[in-house]
Amino acid sequence: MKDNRLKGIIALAVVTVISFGVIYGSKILVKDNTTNGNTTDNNQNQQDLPGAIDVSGAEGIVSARELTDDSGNVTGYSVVSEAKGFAKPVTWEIIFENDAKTIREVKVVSHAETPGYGANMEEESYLNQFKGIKAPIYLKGQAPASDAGSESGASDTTEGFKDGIYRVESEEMDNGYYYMLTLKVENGAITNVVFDGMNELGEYKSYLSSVGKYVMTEDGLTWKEQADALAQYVIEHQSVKGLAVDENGKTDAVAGVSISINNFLELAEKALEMAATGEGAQNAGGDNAPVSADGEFGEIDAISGATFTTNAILELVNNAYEFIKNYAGK
Amino acid sequence: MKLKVADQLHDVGPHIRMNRTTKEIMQDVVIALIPAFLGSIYFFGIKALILVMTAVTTCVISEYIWQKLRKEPLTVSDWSAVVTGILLAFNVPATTPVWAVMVASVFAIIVAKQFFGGIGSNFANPALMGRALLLFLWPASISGYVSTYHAGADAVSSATVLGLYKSGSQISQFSKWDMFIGNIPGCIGETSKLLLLIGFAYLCYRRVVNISTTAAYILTVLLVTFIFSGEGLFKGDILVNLLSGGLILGACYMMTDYASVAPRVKVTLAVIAGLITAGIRLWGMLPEGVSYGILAANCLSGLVDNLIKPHIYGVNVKKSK
Amino acid sequence: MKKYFHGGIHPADGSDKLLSNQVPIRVYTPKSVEISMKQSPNGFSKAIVKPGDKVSKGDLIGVPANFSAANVHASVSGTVKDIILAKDNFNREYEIVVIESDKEEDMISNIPEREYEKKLVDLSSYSKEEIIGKMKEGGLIGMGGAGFPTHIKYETKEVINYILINGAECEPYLTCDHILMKEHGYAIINGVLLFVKAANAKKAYICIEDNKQDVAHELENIISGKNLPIEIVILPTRYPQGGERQLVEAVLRTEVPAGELPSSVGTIINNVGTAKAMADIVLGGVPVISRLVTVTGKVNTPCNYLVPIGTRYSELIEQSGGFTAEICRVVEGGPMTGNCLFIGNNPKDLKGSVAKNTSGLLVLEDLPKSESPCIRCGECERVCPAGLAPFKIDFAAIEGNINLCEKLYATECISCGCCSYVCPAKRELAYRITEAKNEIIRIRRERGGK
Repeated sequence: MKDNRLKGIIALAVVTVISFGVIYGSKILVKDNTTNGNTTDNNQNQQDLPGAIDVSGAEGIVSARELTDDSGNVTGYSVVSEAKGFAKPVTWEIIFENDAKTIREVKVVSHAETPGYGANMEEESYLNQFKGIKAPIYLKGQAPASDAGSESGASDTTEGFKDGIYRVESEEMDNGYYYMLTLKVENGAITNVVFDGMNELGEYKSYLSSVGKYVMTEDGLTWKEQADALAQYVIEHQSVKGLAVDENGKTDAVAGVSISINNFLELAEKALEMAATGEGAQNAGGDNAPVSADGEFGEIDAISGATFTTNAILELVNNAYEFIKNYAGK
Repeated sequence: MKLKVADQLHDVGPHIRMNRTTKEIMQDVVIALIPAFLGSIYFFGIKALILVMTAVTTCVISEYIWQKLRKEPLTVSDWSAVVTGILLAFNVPATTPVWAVMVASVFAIIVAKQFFGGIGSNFANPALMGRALLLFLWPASISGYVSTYHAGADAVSSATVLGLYKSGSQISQFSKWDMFIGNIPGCIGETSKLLLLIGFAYLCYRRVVNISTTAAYILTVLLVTFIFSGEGLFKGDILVNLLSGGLILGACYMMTDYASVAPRVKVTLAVIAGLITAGIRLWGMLPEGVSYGILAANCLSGLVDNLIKPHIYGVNVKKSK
Repeated sequence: MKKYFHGGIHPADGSDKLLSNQVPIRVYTPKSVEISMKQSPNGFSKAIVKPGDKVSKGDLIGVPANFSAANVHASVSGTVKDIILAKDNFNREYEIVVIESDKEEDMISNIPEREYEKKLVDLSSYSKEEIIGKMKEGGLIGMGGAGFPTHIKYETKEVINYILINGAECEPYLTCDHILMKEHGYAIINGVLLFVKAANAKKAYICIEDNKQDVAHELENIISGKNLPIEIVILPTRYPQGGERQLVEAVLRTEVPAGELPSSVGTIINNVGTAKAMADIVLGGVPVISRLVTVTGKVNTPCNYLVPIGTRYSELIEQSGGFTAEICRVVEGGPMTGNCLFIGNNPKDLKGSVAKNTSGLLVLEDLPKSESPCIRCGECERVCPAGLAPFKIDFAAIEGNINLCEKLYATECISCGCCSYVCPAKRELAYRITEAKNEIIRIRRERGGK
């Protein structure tokens, strides 16, 4: 029996070493074959291909090239563009028709968005909506009026808030989470508020609470539900007045909310200040969103529950459009 | 009435014995788990090592202290606490805090094992009970599934493959090969199916486990998920279900635990556990059902043993001429 | 078609038997013998001689005193020197007749001389009653170990269809049956035919394990072409293939009902040694006064001895060159079911002598054993030939819960020892279950029911 055992252990050791060889080997192989979000890799790939366009100096553009047919006529353009998503860059390849305006199709190159939220960008149904639409793109219902003419900033209204999207984030972590609040003003009124938290690992507090991984009490609303309730309060009241808090940061003003709302209050007040003056507003199309000069534009759906990811997509597509428009001289 | 005990018990036959002892069996299990242990360090880093060492040490010390305090004969040298420690650590993710693992270890040994009479008398697998405790009391502590170092990321959190599969999301970023060698997020010991399986082969070679139990469990889970989990019947993804989650770990090392699975009816219990695991994966709210499936089978072990009667030589046999 | 029984183990790899089956038989005639009146576990006889009497080889010196006993005969010619009183493990008294041999005579030698040892003999002149009468007269008991008087088996009222002759010798180390079959094939066949006649049976099966194929061939040669009601059956080597109920399961593909004897399914089972002794009694006119004994294990020259009944064990050990290990445990019979006679290092302290059912004297190195808690691995259940769950009965027996033991069918235990053999916790399962079984039987007997 002892011999039996020794033989078994030796065999096990040998097979284990071989297995580790296999595992390590596959890691090496994999690194060679795929692009893993490393922009330099992408650049190399593209620049090796014919028709490469120089992208130096263009912000957010990784690489670009012309697509030609056998006779050398330009049939379209491929632009690899990236923008910051929730935690890491989102990189897409956008293929334009040769009018440098119509999007033929889009492909996801890489991202690190949360599965179930931002990662849903990979779904065919989502990507298909880009086929054939015209850049620049906006979220449905958020396209600016075609004669607005302003590149950025809020529309002027004398009373109420300034139109635009206002984003605030907390500077420091509180109990393991960063917090962020997005506030949207349309036609002078606050129409949308989103409040969420993210931990060090990049997980949304709303996501964690929805799947039962962040639980505060057995009965009672989940954290996400409470965050939504607070948001709703601000929309209804168009301010944070009435949200009185005790020394623990708890309030009685909103039904079902038992969490400490200090984080929320801090960010909401800041956002409201910004909205009042229009400072720091972002348009639905992102910081550098071009206004459609010819009035044509495309509209897409947001990714449900993934504000940052959606904004990143808008930004990178519109950046790509801007770049290729300039390049093509149109 | 008490039976008369021989004065020198070693006078009685048989006078030859097989030279396999409890300690050897447990040591074989530890040896079989070493490849997966090394793999866990490779994939998840030093934290995996720390957690496994903590679990093993806490388990051994708990058993020792308990038996000393109760003035019971010490059985710590039979290595069964070591096995429990390793399996417990294998069942938690690498981001679990050390204190959680320690608490679970103490619970697993003292409550789930020693309270019921020590080795051979526990009704459920102690490692799974320890994990169940954590799930019940401090779910957040074991919720962070970490992506592997191997993938080049710095511990970016992601849901497990099963979580994605269940929610219908794409799981294309994990290839089947990744799932096989262990390059996916998950608990420390459950990810590398390759390493788990070679350890299991060693156990089969040493006759420590019965391969039919493991096979029955896996096949039941695969069959049910094949039929029901895809879009439409008989369209489930067999490989995903086989290679994801704790199925291989549970089938090879938990289902084959001795005390909690009555020996004669092992295969039946494996089928029951398989049905429950598949049921939770398909229709329950959690993406993973292995722990609960096996625990349920443990609890039913006594009942099934009573229901399925053995055949005793000469009993219920008609007299023939 | 392979013939199997349920459960069982392979406790040896064959090297054990090689110790003693490659060497020729040695004949040993001691100067004096101690013939015990307790020739089987439960059979007590009464001596009918007293010190000073002169006896000849083959004279009757003891008659049965209880149901499971038989006649006892003098195995050497000489003078009765002494009658010693002894007590067994259960404090039952019995006598030992010490006879001192007065002739330097060659006892029954090894060379087949008589007719029935060289060819098949015509048995038509013997009637069934006569044969059974001779069994009783000659003191024939089961020589395979149980020691039950054979004539009682054949006096059964049941209809007997088959005789099973047990040549399996499934216990490790023992080889006396093997050697017997090799050397005395004709005598055995004659004996078997006598049995068939005595039972009015249709046929006899001689069952041999497949590690003794050479012997099987020889016996085949003897019976081939002669249209005898005998068939040689080869069985897979596994312990306890030689158990009565396992033979019935493997050869006749049926099970003996619990609590019944094999005769209830129409069969009687006898050891090959008993068959040869039968031939000796009826055809040779010699009662049971000698047998082959395997002396093996940790001795210098292990081999099989042909000795008179009553030869002292200590002398046998000496003849074999003494112990070769420090502390030795001497087992009477096979290692699985034999009794431990003695643990020590001086053969002279060894008591006891060869009885009619002593198949071997085994010397093992004594190693310490200790029990540890059951881990419920289930191995014992897997190997039990009776289909029991030994670990459960063990728990019940330790608690003293006899009712539970009965419910778990402890009475069906055949005490083969397979469970204790495989247990990794080294628990004394076979011992405790046998104790529980005996307790249940005792209680039932007291209650008067079956």
